[in-house]
Amino acid sequence: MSGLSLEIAPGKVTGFLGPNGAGKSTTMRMITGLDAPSAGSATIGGRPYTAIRHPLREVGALLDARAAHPGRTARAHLLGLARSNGIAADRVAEVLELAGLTAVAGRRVGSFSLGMSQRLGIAAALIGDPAVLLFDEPVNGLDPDGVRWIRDLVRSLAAEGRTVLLSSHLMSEMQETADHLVVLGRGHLIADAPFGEVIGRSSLNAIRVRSPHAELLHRHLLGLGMAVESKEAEEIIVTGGSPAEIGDLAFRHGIPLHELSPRRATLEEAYMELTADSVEYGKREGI
Amino acid sequence: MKGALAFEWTKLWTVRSTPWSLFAAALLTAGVAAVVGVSAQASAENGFDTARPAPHTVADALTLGQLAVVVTATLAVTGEYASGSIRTTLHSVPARGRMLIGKAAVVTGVLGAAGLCLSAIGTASAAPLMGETGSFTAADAVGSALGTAAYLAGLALLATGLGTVLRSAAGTITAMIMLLMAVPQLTQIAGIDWLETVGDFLPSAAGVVLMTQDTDPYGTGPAALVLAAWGLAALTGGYVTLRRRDA
Repeated sequence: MSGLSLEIAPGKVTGFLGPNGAGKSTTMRMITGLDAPSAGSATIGGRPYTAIRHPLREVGALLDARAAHPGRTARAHLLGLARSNGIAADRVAEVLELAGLTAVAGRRVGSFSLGMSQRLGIAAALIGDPAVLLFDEPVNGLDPDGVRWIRDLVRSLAAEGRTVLLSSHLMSEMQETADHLVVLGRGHLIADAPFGEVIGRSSLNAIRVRSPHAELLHRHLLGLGMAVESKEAEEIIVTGGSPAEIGDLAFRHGIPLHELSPRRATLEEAYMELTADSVEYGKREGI
Repeated sequence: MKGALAFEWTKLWTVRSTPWSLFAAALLTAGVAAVVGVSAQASAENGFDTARPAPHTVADALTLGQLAVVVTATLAVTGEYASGSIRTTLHSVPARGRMLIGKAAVVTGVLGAAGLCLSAIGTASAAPLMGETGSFTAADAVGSALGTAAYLAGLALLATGLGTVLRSAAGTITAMIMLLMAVPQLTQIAGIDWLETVGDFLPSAAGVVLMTQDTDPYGTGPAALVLAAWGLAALTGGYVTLRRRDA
């Protein structure tokens, strides 16, 4: 990790993206004091994690589903956590219910599937009703129901005004969930911007234009500095302009338009473009 | 600190290894104490002077029984590393010192209490078989019970500290067996004076003094200090490791 400076805002889901080994998990481990940064600091509300007296009441973290003793029951695991931070024991039943684990609360964690372990990890993260939540790959091992459950949970946690940092490899999942994106590549920050802006900067945002005079329109668009690609005789793909600009231009020159359809890049496309850059050029700050 | 203690207490009693290890320690102590008692009685009948207070047989019985106790303390630490639950633990109690002191205090307290019970169990097992040979006073029984408690508490500190340094059950238990059983033998058989003196300051030697209220090579006060020094050294090593190595 180097030169990474981030502030995660409350009330939003911040998506944390990057190739394997980019430093996502390491960043989250540093925030919670498991790893010490060689220089710099990670603070929560201005304090290092290790200085917080009852950290579970302020920061909930799911960093690794397999972080419970296999011989302990789910209920005992959560009860220990509650006692460690002076949280009422009633809260254990609440988070078990929330995570859909009530029926298996008395089973040993070692017999849990990966999906159940993820749910237990989320129950543990929520036990102190914290304002800050860190979820590292929470949907790993979950069935479609579980994936949907996580998505709704994460959205509602942010809607309650909490700060949520979520990492995932699943772009489609991130597209559904994140408001803000932080993209890491090789320990460097590649992007830190609202979701719409990251997508908007992609060169893959394009407008398809169909016109019987496509060639004429092509020349006028080039004159305005837009990038134009000819597809078929009557079809061109325009990037770097808005539908309004193209429509107005066509109107001024009396060119009939048969189609003017913007196509937004998907998160996956925008992400691939961003991280390809990071691999190709190495260090690159911002976007 | 209250939270850290409650947390460690809950964790210690919600895994099966704790009651099973303590149960094994009780069985071993009762069994070996009985054998030692029978043997002392038989020797006495053959004219040897083997008279000793029955509570002192616990010191012999624990040469084996202490291993089950060491396992309890070791697993309380290394089980966390093996399962990955150490990360959850450090999320909950991120101050390394507080976490370690909480764990050491709970494990030491529980094993100290176990020492009282094991002393009573060993005495109850050996005394009826020894008859006159094992006659003892209330002071013998109380002194021996407190000594056993102190010895096992010392072992608990030692195993907790060492387990935090080594992070593996196999490594910690091997090191403890070396220290408690192999090294004491080696210091005795070599017949070298200074090595025997070193042997006097091993935890097991201090333990025998405490459990039998002996005055050789030193009394119970110095013995308690020797054990405490071993325990604190291991715990300090554990603290330094926790601070320096990523979890």
